[in-house]
Amino acid sequence: MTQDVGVANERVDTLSTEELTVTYDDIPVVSDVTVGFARGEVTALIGPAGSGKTSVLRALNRLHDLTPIARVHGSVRLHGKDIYDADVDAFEIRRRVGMVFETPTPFPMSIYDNVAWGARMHGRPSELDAVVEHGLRRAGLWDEVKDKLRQSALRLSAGQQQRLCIARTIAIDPDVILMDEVTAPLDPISTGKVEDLILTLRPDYAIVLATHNVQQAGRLSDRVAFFLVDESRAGRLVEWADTDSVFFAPRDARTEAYISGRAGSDMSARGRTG
Amino acid sequence: MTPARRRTRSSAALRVLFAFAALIALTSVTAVVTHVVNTSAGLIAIRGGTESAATGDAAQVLASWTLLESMVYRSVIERDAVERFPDGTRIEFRSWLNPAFITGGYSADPTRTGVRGALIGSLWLIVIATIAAVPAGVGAAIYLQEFSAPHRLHRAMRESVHLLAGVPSVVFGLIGLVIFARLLGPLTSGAIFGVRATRVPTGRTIVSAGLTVALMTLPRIVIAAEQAIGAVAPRLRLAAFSVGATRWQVVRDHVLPQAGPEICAGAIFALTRAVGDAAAVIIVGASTVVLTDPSTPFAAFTALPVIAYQWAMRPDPSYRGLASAALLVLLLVVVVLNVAAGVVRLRARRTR
Repeated sequence: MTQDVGVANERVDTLSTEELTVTYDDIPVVSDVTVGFARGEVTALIGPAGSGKTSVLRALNRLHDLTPIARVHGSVRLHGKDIYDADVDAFEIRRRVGMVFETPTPFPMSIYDNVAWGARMHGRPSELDAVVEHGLRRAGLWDEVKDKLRQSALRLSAGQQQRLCIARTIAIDPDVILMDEVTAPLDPISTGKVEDLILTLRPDYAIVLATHNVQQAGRLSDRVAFFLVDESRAGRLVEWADTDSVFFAPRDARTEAYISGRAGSDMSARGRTG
Repeated sequence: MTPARRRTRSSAALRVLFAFAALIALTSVTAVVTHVVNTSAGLIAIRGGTESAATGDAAQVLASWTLLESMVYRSVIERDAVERFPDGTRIEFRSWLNPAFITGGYSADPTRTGVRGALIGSLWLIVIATIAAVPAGVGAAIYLQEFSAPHRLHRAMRESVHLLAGVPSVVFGLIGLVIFARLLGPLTSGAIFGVRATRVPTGRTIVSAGLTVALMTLPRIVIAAEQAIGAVAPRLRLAAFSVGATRWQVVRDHVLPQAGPEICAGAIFALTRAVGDAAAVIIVGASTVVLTDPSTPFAAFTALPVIAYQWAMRPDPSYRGLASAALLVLLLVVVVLNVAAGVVRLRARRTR
């Protein structure tokens, strides 16, 4: 971790974007996003469905590379280096920018192998047991699964599966963790556990959390980036600021409307129908 | 008429159509079964069966009954035979399809010939075709599904695979004759490996035929494997990529284990189709009569559908019974393979 130089008042972004635009079949789904994420912070990406939160997330770890029709324009910098440069290995980027998805997607293997699979490719085999235990402990799952590490991960509850996915990401020792609606399919108790987990992870990672739950963004995030669909149906970054100022003193009227719950559904409907 | 109502009416019409299709399918299955039990593969009455084996005289086939009759009216047949052939002590009842028929070698005497050579030939074909076609087919499917970007060449490749799957087997036979038997003759006759071709001077050997069957099977395996790989949940791939895996690691550890059973079942189905095909194998050079069992892939050979075809073409009615019996052996092989494919698929579904 080289990012300890971040001094109190001077944010040093671990990961940042500049004029990021993602297109599908040359049609932009999200345009001109300039935003930064620093270690020790949780940044919530909020906005109605279709406003481009997921598209932004996937641009941050080059996941769009796997979708042939998707193109990423602008720049995404990790520690100042553009991850879309020709000499950058996308697979290495994805190790340093881990991602957890909305639907818990444990691999159809044992609990141990779920955490070990990614770590095995990057670390030393002799330390694997320790890496797995560390990952599971940080994800708050160790006590629940330590006696059944060889059991299939598919037999865990949805909430446990999601924390396992987070453990798997921790085990590859990333700098940034992207979370795409990670609590959306979970019950309130599991959601609470995952939220607590995010707060315990905050000091060590730059966490980017896409959510359409405004309250959750308020509870967890240090900064908020608010996205909305514009007239051309592309998502746009409306406001990006400290959580407190977004919630209590939004600069944009649309932000205020969305935060207070007055216009969310209406706006998303407009976004879909164009 | 409201749109909803129109939809119900058209769906009712569709249902009738589908029911009709299912009825046709059922009828054809029944037809096949009826034909099988009505083939002359049933009992035969032989005069001087075991006796003539000792003396070397040809035994005489007196009468033949169908499989159905043999199974259901056995006592009637026996009583009937005693009446028709008064010297009943010398009559021996036998089924065309018996253990000796399956394990017996070729004989000019229809009552003593067997299909062992053809059975071994067919099994050789399955083995060679599997070795040649499965890795290539699965590899091609992995490339098309996981590695190749969808550009024009990719689409051309995929379309050509589908086109190949529809090419008649005779055409594959000719391709196999030209490429494997003639062009690669030194290789497929085993001459290069120091195998003395005693009876087969050219490359018209098991290898050539096996490779031809492989070629015939390949497109079907590619299609089956592509479907199986395409059915693997995309989010599993995304999750694997998101911990920094390379494409190959994702394929090796997630896609192939998930798609494996379906690929396996698809490959078996494809091979089953090919192993029952006579045309291609005849063109490449299956022999009518094989006196020695093929012991190396460079031997002359025959296969079950070929020998059944040869026997069915003979004027002597005894051979018609033999042809039916050989076809039953082939059906048995096909059923065993299909059951194996089904078991692989079911077990995979249960463990998931």
